[in-house]
Amino acid sequence: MSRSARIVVLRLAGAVPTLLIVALAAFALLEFAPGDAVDAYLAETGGDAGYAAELRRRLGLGGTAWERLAGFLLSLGTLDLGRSVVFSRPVVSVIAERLPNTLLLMASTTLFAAGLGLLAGMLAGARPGSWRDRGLSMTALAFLAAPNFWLGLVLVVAFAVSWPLLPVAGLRSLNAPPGLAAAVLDTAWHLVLPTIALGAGYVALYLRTLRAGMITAWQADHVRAAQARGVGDGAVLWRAVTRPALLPTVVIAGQNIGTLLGGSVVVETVFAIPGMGRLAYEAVTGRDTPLLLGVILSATVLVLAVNLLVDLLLARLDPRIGAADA
Amino acid sequence: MRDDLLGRAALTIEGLIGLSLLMAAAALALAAPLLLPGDPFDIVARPLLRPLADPAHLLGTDRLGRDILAMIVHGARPSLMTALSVAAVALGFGMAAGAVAGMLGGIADEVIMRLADAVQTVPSFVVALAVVSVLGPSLPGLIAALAISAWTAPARVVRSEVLRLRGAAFVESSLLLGRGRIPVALTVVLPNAVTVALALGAVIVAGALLSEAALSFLGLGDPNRPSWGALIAEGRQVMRTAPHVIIAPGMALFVTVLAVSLVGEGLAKALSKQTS
Repeated sequence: MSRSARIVVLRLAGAVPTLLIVALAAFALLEFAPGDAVDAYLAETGGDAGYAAELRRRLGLGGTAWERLAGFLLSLGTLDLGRSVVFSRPVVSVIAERLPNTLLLMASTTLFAAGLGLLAGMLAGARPGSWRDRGLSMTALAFLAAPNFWLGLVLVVAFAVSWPLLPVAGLRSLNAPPGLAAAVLDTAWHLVLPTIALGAGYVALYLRTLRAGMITAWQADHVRAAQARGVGDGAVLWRAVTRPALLPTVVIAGQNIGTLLGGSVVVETVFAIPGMGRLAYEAVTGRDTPLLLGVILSATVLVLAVNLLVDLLLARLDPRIGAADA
Repeated sequence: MRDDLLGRAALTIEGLIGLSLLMAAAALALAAPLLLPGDPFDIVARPLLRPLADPAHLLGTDRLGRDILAMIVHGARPSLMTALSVAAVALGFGMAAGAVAGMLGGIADEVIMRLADAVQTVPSFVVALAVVSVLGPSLPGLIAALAISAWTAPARVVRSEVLRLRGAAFVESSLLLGRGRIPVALTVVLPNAVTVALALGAVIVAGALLSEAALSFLGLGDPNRPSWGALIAEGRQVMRTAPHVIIAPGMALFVTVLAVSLVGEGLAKALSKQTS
């Protein structure tokens, strides 16, 4: 079996119990909730007990808890997540509609945070302990402490009132010019502020990880050997110190996919982006149990999938990972 | 050994600044009823007063004419209480789970670590959202919602410490005295892993402060208590003309989280000096 295949098999085998635990825990939690989606729905529209029972039967919310659990697990097997009460549509189709926007936001945030964070991390790690390093490290700590939803609102105030330069809501303009290139540019323009609000903290994470790796690398024998051989400073910094320290930063990208999704809940709310994060919030406020279960499960699958991709990427970058005798 | 570590953490620049900021915030939170007596939700002046415009209301008023400084100071206590309780619960449970998993090994280890894997896979804020919506925005509900995801990091750290210490002479001798593995794990091995887990406490407190604020920002907090997140959410309606209503509570949250992170940084520095 090739290394990649072995990693895929191992990861998938580990994913099954994880998914099962998450599904059972989420189901048990929502069983505890006082009142269900039908109560919340009828509170707005009104209706008698017969109508409520009929709705529950149609939505798979009737019967005993065990019957509901059995129905839930059976439909999971067929990738059917039930019907959303708030949207009156299958949960799968609602999620499929929202997911691309969140993936877009997550991708742009990761690019922004990794780009800026690694650049700053290299500047800081090039001379650990210098004033430049201290300044950058302190700034990073401040970035980590800034609440993302507040940063988003401050950006909205700055760019909607003081300098109306950038769009502060949604992902597309209503009067966008025609053509694919124009549409891409329009969306990228809309992504600038949400990306900064969501990504600021991650800039700090990349910076700190790269810097810590570089500090370790400076003490390694191969660095001193390169310096003794008379290799130029720039080449030592890039090839002997920075490059080996880049590997752990790939892990950061995978590890933080969950917190990125969590952060998108508030950032999507602030910037009115119709994505998965705001969907989680809408499911909670609408007491939409099937939808909330669906969001939790698909978020879990997304995290597992990204971690698998990161593992494969790491294996490609580092031949020691997944080797047969490791 | 532990007091020593705290002392040395306080001697780093980060630890010193963080600790003083944190003590100032805690003092304000505790003295809130004395400094600014009365209900912080009372309407005391004309709405949307600018900061410094009236010396009686230093940070101005919100759109209903309530004193922003009073709401911020009164909001500090619930926020700090929640975050500290989350850290206490998460550290207590996580360290115990890690110690038991490392000491017993086998099936217990497998079950605990699988559970930790599963918990770490679901985005913690989505979990918090779901748990708060079920348990309600009471203090115990909030603590449960945030601690349920936070215990895994201390569990992992303590487990690997226990694995390292398991064969040590003082552990072996306790076992040979005929004490059970779990009591030995909790009373003999665990105290040696406390310092490592302590630095994680700061990370958990900072994260809990931010998550709690985000929950109340989304309207899932306790509406009867002033809270920084809810203040920011209410300020949204008028922030374009009166940005001070969101800037002041946001700064309070930011400075508090920064102070906690600085203390954590100081602890981590003192810890790395100790081990190297």
